Amino acid sequence: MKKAPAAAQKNTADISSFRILKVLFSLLFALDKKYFFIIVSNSLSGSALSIFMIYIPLVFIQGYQAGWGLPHFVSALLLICLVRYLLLQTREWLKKQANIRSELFNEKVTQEFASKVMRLDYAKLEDTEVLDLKERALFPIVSYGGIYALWEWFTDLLAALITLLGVLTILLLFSYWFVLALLLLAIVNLILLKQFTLVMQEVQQTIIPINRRYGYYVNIATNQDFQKEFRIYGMNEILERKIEYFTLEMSSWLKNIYVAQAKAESKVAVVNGLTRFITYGYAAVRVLTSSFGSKIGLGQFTVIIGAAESFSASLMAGVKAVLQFIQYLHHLQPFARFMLLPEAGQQEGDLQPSAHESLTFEHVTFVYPGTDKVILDDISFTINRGEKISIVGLNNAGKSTIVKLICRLFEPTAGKILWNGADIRDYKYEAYLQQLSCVFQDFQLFPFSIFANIAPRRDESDQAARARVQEILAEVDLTDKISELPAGIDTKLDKSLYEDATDLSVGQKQKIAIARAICKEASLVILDEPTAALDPLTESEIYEHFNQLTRESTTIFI
Amino acid sequence: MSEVEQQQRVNPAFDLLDEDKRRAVLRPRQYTLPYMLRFISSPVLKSRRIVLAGLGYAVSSGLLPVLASFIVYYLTMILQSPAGDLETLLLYAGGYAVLFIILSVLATNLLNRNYNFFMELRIGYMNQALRRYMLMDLGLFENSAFLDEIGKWSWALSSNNAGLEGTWHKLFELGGTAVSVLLLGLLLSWQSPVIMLAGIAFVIVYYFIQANIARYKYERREEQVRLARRLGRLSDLAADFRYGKDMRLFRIYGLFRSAFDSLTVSFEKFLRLFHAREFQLSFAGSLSLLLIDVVSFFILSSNLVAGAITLPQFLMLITAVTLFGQQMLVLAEGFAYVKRDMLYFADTMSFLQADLRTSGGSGQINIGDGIEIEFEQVSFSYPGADQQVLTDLNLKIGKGEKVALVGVNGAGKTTLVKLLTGLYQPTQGRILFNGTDISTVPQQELFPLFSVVFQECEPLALTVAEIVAGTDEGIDRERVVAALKAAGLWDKVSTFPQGIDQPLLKYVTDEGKILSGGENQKLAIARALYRKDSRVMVLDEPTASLDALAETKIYQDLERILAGRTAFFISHRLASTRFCDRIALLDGGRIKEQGTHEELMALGGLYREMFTAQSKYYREREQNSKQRSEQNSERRAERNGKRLAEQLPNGELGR
Repeated sequence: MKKAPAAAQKNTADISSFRILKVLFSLLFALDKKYFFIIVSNSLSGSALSIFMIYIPLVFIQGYQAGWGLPHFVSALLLICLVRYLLLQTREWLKKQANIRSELFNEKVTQEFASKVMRLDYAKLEDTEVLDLKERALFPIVSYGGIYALWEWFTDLLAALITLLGVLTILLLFSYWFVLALLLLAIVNLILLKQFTLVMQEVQQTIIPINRRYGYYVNIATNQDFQKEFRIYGMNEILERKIEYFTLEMSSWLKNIYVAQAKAESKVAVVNGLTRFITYGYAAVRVLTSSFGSKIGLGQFTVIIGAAESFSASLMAGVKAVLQFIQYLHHLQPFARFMLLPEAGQQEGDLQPSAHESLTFEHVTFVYPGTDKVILDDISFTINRGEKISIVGLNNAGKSTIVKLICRLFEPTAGKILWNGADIRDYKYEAYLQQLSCVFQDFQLFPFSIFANIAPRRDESDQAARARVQEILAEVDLTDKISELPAGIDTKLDKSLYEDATDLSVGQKQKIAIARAICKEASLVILDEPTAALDPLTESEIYEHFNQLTRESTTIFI
Repeated sequence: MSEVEQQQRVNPAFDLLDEDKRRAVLRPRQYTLPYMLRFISSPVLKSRRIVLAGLGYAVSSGLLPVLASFIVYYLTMILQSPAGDLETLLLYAGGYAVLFIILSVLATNLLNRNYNFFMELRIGYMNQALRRYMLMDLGLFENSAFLDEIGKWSWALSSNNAGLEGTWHKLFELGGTAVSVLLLGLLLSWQSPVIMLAGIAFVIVYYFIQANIARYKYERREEQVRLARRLGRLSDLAADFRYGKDMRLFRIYGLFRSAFDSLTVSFEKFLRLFHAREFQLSFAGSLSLLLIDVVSFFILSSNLVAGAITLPQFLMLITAVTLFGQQMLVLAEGFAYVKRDMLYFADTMSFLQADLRTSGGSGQINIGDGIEIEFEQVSFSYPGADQQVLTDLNLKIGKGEKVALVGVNGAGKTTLVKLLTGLYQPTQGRILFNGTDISTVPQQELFPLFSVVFQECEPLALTVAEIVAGTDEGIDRERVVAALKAAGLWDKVSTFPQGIDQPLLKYVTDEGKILSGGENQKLAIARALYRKDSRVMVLDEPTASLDALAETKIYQDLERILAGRTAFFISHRLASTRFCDRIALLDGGRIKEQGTHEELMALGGLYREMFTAQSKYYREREQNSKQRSEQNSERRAERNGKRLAEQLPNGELGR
């Protein structure tokens, strides 16, 4: 027996930064191409502004040396200001676009994440490792704003790169040697920062799980469901201590980052001081002597100094952006891995199922994936058309598993399930599911209208469907309750989403779930403890109606 | 009677329903910016180390830009002089480099090494706020207007670089900016005070623009939060693994898709509006930024043309102007930042300063050898709701008596528990414990009297012992084991590698164990049993997730478990209420029927109706089950021999 299936092992393997990058860029292109262009233009406008600033003193000095009068100066000044103004305003506009796009993109990513969950095989959803991966995937997005931050740092990174290129081009006009010296010093800086990055990455990696734990306790502390326990059992104290413990732990780790940062930046300051000395020295030598090339004027002197300043500044900005970008890329590792989980392992047949005649379990054995826990051991039985059957004598897990196997949410480890004589795996999945209807033990209703919950595939304006829903509501004895609601069957179900929604009681919810199962008009209906939450009166009422409710469909009670 | 004079506890749940009262409690005074700045700076100023570091940082980082403009002056002066001397020049450049290094090293160390001080300070406030949240009157959770208002408290405490801590860092850094603005401004005033004035004008204009934008956004925050929360909740739900089965079987995803689409469209519309003001005002903002440049470049170039200043001076001054402009922008942005984040911090402050506990009360319960409970004309409606859940309810429970409370779904059984335990106070009437009105008894004295097993019992990610003892300090380990044994969970816990120190749930550690629904319920029962001094046991649907065997075992041990406590049961499995001394039926907000099972059956009312319905269905199910399992066992017996027999004991007959 395989202890852990291949898929489960795959979940734990880290993927390269390059693959994470690929996942994120393909999402960016798939979900919002415009955003990409905004990011690039934003970077371009930022670097255009910095490069433009380098030349301003040159204009004035050359004008002075050319003997400009005041009117000349004023018109040059106005022209400079006009260009700057246009650049500033372009950047403001791009900033606004980026703000809007980034928030929208963040939402689109979480929506895409949800549809990814939908596309996964159901079996994955019961794999605790996948659940864990999901939580780790969403945490940096929800709590750290990981997606915004990633693209913001990417914008800075791109801007710094473009500025560096521009500035180097200017400096290359003066001397290759000087540029080489600047680059060498830059490399020294990078090496110094690399050490710091390692410390930072290590600490960040350590902190993420601590932060998650901290987040868990804070969530619990503010969660309404636990408030009674905090008060009656005084459990607020243990929670306070846990929260304090994790925050202090985080704080002491973060302290390492700040100390390392202070050390790294001190060393970088030494290199930057040296860079300035070389820059000023070189520029002055060029003015005073011709030993490094033809003499230059004061104007060009300011250009060299301005460009070198800009070089240092964008190099630092670029390094910071790269570090942060890599950091966030790292944070998004679980997200990328989740998005890369294989889909549709569901064996898809091409038979079209006909209405239920017989359903047969043939020596079905089921072992929970990733465990050696035998849930079903060589089970065989047949259910024929029109039978109303209850399955008992198995423990909870066994019974729920039978339902999941019939619904092809899981596949038997051994043995076969036959629908009208053919293996259920040979049928088209979607068409096969159309033949089935269920009230799961842990059924869920959705945050939509009552109508949409009962008839999810029908249009809200479909009069025939509305009439049918009303009819079913009458059968489960909900008509009175629903007609009291302001919007009747169009009333929505989740109060946290819609102010005008209604909260149904557990019993009413269960009735809606039963109504949904009936409305599907499937040829096989499965009811897994459908009345667990109902009081005896309602329970017996529902049971009395069941035969009538399920009509000629075959029904399995669990 | 004496308890009449006793002082009642305050009841914020009802007191704060009124909007004016709410405002009076939450905003006892206007939070002006200076008031708030005093509030947030007082803990910082107490630390001499931080004050000195702040001053040191201001000087070192403030001098750096000034130095940069002076070096340009000296270098160009040397270059301009006829006998430009390379040696002197390198000396100056070297001196500058050394000063630059010293100041930079000082600045970065003073800034970074003190960064954590502020985080720890913020965490202190955060914990204080969480504590208040966990102790505030429970009824306030029913007050949605209050929750909306108070829900904003956490934002300003949640981040390193926004809200409270962000403001501290910002103010620390602004010290340096202020120094350089001052020095550069003085340097430029030497040419013309107009430049300094232009700078000040810019800061004022820019500040007001930013403050306006901040206010504009703050006012639209609720809409923003509402939309973001909806979108968040919708994608949360769509990605919720528990929805997976129904989602696939009923093909629900299309509904989510269209809900996403329409919400995203309105979110986009909102965002366009939300960022509109910022862009509109940026036209004026950029213009005011250029104002410094236009004014100073004009003045400097006319002075240059007129020969009032030399070219090196001109170069130094335009460098100074550029730096002055940059620093002024930082200053203005910093002011706007502080203004904006303090706007949000005001919400936190009102939460930190308001008293929201159910405090007070001077009554005392004479516990003696047990507690007699009496509900006297008790009525209750949830704060803000019109509908009464309980109406003039009367009920008396003797010392050590076991009473079962039954009723249809939504009859108010759980509400009654909240009143009994003092979590809520009746809107009318009294609940007496040995004659004392419990609404006069301080909560911290009242709560220890109860052992409650709540209906929902999702455990916390703590160790088994911590959950059972309700604390992590001074756990009586033998009692924990005894409680686990009595609740029927010891067999399971003793198999854990770490025994009672085994953590539960996976959130905090991978070693965490996950219990089934029934085991969680047993754990909750164990916690109730651990309480040594409790006198009243309340069990709200204590066996709903237990299988029949475990349920029977619990009831068999009940006498031993209760050990003389007065007990209050809620259950809708009517059969399980039979070993109570008395059954009370709650209907229409009152106790409609009460007595023993036999008495109630003889009465022929709602209880009888419910009981008959349930037992009829049970009998049918049991018969069906038997037939079915006999068939199954026959079939299986052919192939599998005794396997079914092994599975049966876990099976839940009759449910």
